[in-house]
Amino acid sequence: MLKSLPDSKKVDLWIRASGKALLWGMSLVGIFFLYLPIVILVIYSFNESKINAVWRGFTLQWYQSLFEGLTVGSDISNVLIWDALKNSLIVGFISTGVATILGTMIGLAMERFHFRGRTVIEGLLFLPIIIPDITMGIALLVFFSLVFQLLESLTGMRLVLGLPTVIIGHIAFNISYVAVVVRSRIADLDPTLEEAALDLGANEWKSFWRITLPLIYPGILSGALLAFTLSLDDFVITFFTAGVGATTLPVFVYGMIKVSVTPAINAISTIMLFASLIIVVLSFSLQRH
Amino acid sequence: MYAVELTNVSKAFLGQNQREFLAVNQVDLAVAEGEFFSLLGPSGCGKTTILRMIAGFELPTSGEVLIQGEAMRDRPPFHRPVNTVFQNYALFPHLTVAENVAFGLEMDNLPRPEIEQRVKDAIAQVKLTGLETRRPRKLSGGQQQRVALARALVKQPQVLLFDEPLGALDLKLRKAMQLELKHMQQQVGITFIYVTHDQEEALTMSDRIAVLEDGQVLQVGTPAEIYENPNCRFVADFIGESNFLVGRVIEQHPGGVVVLVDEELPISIPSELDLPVGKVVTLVIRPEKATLHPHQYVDEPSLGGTVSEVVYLGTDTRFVIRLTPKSSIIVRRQNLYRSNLDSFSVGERVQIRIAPDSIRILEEGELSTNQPFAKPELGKRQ
Repeated sequence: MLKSLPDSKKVDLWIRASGKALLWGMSLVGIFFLYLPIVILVIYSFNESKINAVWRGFTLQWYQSLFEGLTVGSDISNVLIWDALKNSLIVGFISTGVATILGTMIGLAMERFHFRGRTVIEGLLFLPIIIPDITMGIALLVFFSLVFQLLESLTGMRLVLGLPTVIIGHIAFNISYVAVVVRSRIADLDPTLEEAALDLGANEWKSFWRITLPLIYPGILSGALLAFTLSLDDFVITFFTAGVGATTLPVFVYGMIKVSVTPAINAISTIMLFASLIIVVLSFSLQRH
Repeated sequence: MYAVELTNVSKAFLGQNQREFLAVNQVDLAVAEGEFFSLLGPSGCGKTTILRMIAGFELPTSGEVLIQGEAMRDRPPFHRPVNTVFQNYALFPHLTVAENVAFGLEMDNLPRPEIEQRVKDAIAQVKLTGLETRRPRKLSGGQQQRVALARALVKQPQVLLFDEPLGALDLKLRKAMQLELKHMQQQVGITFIYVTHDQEEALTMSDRIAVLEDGQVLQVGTPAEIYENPNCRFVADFIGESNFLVGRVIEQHPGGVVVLVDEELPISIPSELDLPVGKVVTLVIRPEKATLHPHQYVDEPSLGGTVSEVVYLGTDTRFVIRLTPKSSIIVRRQNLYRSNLDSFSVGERVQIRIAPDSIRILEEGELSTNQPFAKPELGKRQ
């Protein structure tokens, strides 16, 4: 028969058991707070009632009215949603494209070359990720107005905020994200592979296209998807740099809340949620590949 | 004209503390056409750096690398007539075996039919036919090694460079590959420059060996020259196993000297060197060149000693014999007969015979070192 543990040691077992219970409890509470609102949002996008709080039966009318906006002569607010979506996609694609190219180049340079001021650039690279969006938004706004003033006084040309400034703003924060993701991929890449390519007669250009790029391509793609998601979701920086007529989807939704809160917002949010989800899942699976 | 020549080549790197250190220090080397030349030394001796300077991945800080008489300073790796087999093979993971082998030929813009024919031949040459469409990840270590070899061979370079290519393989496979590489080198007639820290590997394959330490070439010679006539203690110690006895010359006569070891043991050795009386020298004695005899043995000049350790190692037995209170010597005897396995036992008085011309004299050493060699490593196999 096993000798039973003395009471002083039983405390240890109790601590272990309660720790386990606590961990489970905390996890459940965390998941509950994080995801319950989102689940409610999705459910109420199918609510027949105009008021969010009351459930009055299942309907697809909010999704329907959204898509009616595509037809001519429909409700103006539903048309504007599609304009906003178009703007969001334009900003998303262009800023992602530019940020991916620049971010990849930075990631490559940081990982492959040792140069003066590398650590400084490394710090600067993380800045757009860590500083608050609001700071970044204001900084960009100040920057643009200064540049516009300067341009006007020099050339007489008058520029205003619009889609181009939004795109520049998005590129500014997306570069960092792409560079960080791509860099981690390059860090896994054996540098002797590139040496082997040079050794076999490939110049640096060919070695990059035939060896380096195919091997870091999953990293670049997941960086790009991340950038696209961030661009699509961004509100604060867009809000400061958009000006009139360059409304993206998140900014438009924010405007809608101020006017009338209908489940149409839930519908849009649900669509955006799933679009983002798909992209993020895609990005993660590529990263693991 | 030499296949590869290094003239006074040095390479400095910036160390951790921003201080420069010389990885390669004023090295002169000349590798003949068609030669199997090994760079041998412990890790950190600069052998890989030399190889990388020949391949073009590093540029010498000073001095010149010449390949077939031509200075290589302004030539990037992809314009040099050399190819490398890397230590970790560096196979392209996203390409198949055939694509890996074809890569170098595609870079030369050869016509497709020729590429296909040469790839096929190279893969057959390294006995990998049938695995053309596999990815490197799906191959064993030995197979990956062969792909790396085929990828370099297919370019038909003037010089093939090897950076410890067999290091990751197990012993049996390594031995087989050593012979295969040697045969292949004789067949294709390409100059091989082979970096290794494994002295046995270097002895097995090389026409000539350069032994390096701390970025400097200590000795260059054929395996036999290096083994039989090491020019310094490091070489004698690194290649094979050696006993070192430090003593001082007490008598010089035409054709030879008498060296007194530990102030009590005189050893007479023939020598052409001019060694004045009083000079401190180190005697190098290979364990297999000494033979043990019973104490009564008096026929020829021999050294008396006491057996202090006996270790049976299968093919041979190693005896540690105490010559003086300060010095011991390892004697290795092949186990030719089962009957004499336990002919000498610990504590027994024995006579050691060493052919006088088998003792190598090095003009170096310090008398104060009480232990001419560290504790003998009996278990160490060659």
